[in-house]
Amino acid sequence: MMSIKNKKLPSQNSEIEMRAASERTYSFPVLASAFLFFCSILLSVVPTLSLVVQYVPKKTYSYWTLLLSPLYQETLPKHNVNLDFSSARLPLLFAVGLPILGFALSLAYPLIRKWLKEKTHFVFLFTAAISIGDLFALFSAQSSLISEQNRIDANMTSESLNMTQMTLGNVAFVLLILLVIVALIGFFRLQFKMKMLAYPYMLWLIIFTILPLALIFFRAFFCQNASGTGYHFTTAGFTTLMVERTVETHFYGFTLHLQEYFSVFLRSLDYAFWTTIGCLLVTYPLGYALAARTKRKHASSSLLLMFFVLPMWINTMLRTYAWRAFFSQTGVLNNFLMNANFIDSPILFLKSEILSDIIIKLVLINDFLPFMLLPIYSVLVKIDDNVRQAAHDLGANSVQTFLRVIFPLSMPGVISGIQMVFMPSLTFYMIPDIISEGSVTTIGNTVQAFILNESPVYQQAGNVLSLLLLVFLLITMGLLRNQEKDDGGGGLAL
Amino acid sequence: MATNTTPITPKLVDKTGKSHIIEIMNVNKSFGDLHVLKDITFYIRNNEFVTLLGPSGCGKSTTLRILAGFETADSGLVEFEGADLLSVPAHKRHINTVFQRYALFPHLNVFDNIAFGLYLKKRPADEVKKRVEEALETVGLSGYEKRYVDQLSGGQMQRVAIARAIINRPRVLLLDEPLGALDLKMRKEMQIELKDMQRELGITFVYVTHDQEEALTMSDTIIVMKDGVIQQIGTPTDIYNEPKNAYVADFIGESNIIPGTMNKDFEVTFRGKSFECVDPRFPEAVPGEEEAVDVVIRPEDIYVKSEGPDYVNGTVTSIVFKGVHYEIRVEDDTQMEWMIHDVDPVKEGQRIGMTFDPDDIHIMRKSCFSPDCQKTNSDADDSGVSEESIEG
Repeated sequence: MMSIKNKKLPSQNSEIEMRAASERTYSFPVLASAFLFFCSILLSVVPTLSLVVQYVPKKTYSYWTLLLSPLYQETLPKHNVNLDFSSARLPLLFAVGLPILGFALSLAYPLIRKWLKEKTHFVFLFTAAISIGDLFALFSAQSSLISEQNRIDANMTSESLNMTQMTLGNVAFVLLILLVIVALIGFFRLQFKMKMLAYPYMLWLIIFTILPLALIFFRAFFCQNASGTGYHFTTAGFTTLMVERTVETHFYGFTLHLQEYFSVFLRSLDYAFWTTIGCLLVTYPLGYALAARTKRKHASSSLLLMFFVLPMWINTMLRTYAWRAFFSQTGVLNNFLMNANFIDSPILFLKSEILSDIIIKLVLINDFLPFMLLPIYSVLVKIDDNVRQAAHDLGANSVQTFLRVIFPLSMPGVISGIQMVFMPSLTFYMIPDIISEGSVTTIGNTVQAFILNESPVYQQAGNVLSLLLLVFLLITMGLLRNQEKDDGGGGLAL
Repeated sequence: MATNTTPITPKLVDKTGKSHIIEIMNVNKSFGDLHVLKDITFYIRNNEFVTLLGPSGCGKSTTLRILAGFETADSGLVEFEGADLLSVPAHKRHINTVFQRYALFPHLNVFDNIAFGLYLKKRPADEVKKRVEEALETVGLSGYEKRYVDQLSGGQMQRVAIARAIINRPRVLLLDEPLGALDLKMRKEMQIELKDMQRELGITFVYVTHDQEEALTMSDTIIVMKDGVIQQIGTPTDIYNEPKNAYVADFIGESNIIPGTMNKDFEVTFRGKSFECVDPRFPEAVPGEEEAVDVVIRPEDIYVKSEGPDYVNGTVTSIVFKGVHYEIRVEDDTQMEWMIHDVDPVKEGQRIGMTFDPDDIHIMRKSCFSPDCQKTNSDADDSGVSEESIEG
């Protein structure tokens, strides 16, 4: 009855359907679990355990023979020891009893269903519990059959004297795992709701996003005690970061004396800024042209778009090394220039401070291009062509139409593009690291160096730096979000 | 206006002698293999409410888009106050458009949407404010300045779109099915308001619709189009009472179209009976020879009598109450179905006779739209119709 209600059958046919359903009392999960439990019972009768003495299998037992042998013991005269199996009595009882219980439960399902009425799905939970319990029973029975005292008496190790599972015995484990799956299928079939699909993701979110953030926050203020047990509150991380030590840095040919970590931050900001600007300058016209093509031809430009996204399919590191090889002293570019007689000796692109700075920015722009292109394109392609025509109609020429209508309407795409490029490029350290061959320190490097340091104070400083970065990014995102609201107006509801 | 002081001699013949603001001559347009406009020729008089009427895909919207400047004509001439219009880019034409789905700017509020055209002309702020308020008052939306587009209903959006289009004081306003997205009641209200607005503003309106009732309500002149060819041009009364062919008759209101023959002037024979009519034979008819024609009779012009030898007799197959009248379907003795609108009910299965006043019997030439037409020979046939309609 209950299953009918859950399946939400149309009411007109409910009577016929109800009769059909009551004839079909054994549904697939019930039949499957009955079969699997039956197999488990069979497996507890056939020999699945083998006694190994001095690495040689001596004798085989089934769970039933072990349980029913009156003395629960075996004598190994050569080794002068009596194996006493009585300590495994309880797990053995469970190992043979639980499949029988499960089998009985499956057969009695129609009766139970009537009796439980609205909570039928709990039968399956119970089945799952039986299966899991049986798994544990099998494990513990096997491991407790031979006691440590027996081994000491026989002067043997656990490798040379033990009770091992035979191949047939492994089948029992597989059966039980299948049973758990079948029981869960049965349970969800009766109790399935779409929102359950979100649970794994929420678990993921908690474990890999919320928990680490909480840990960063915690470890930024608390340091592990020297004894290794417990934490105490300290701001040593902050003082480490704010240390009064200036370093000499070079920006665009200027030499500056800045606080050590501030200079690092400034450099990262410089990279992020130019990456964003560069991506914007390259992708906006590109996205505009692609969107115009899509609208003109009434066909998707996804193939063309793919050419710009294609590089993303190659690992960033490989691409960066390729760039380095391209610009290196004996690289493609130098070879070409020398063969063409433009230069006499190779240019050291990567060693020159200014040139390598430019190259780093170029590679960064190349790397982040798709992240800017896709949101801008998808917003531009959605702008109604009538809006452009309306602007024309009201007297706007092409430039005015773009500045007053198209660009403001594409702002949401630009902003999400900036979010996708600026935020990650601020902490990106692989490209500067590889291109500059380790001579440039970015904020990402610093966090890495801090966290990998053995000193707990530096580790804390790493957490503090991560926290500060997080706050900085949140502020930036908040500012962009407000901007979006102001400019977006009604959004793109056309 | 400077153009008014020097009268332009219209290139197209017009019996009324009124000045023409737009003249379209032999315009053709194709999209790929699809020939959407076939030698379109018509004129629009100053301060007139012209409606382009036809089913979807008949080329009416394309004609409008050519006038607005969003499409180019493949061949032909379009003149605006005597000067070539096709070479003028859309943003320099004194023509504004109200779009089918409004095409308001979603990032601007109502005030900025309406003021868009004035901002472009760099008008002083106080003038912009005054004119926007005027425009909002014209469309009956005063006080909505600060609203955003997504906070408006369909009718309000349409009003904003109209206000935005008229603020530039265009010479011609193009309206592309502007009431299509509104509900019936709102549509009726807007029809009357639009007509009033047109009179008040003194702007020429070119209106595109597929709704014949809308066209009849608002227009001074209706241009009926079908498959890129103009079928008839005339006042609503002309078009309704004197449709040029079976297609127009059928598209404008419901009609009974009956194949008939004419032997002499002022007499037509159909369904085996002869009736007096007010039309002479067509001039090209061979004297003494029987000529096949289409006879159009409006459902409301049929008199229901009891069966008789002089009437078209038949059996009532259904009767439906429609509020003002009953819609009666009758199958006559030659198995043809008739539709009658009458205020007096009859019984289903009842035998009746039908008769007609001579001036309610409309005679028209056989065309590809006739019910008994075998082949479509539209091009040769239709171009003759459109040329003739322009002269008349």
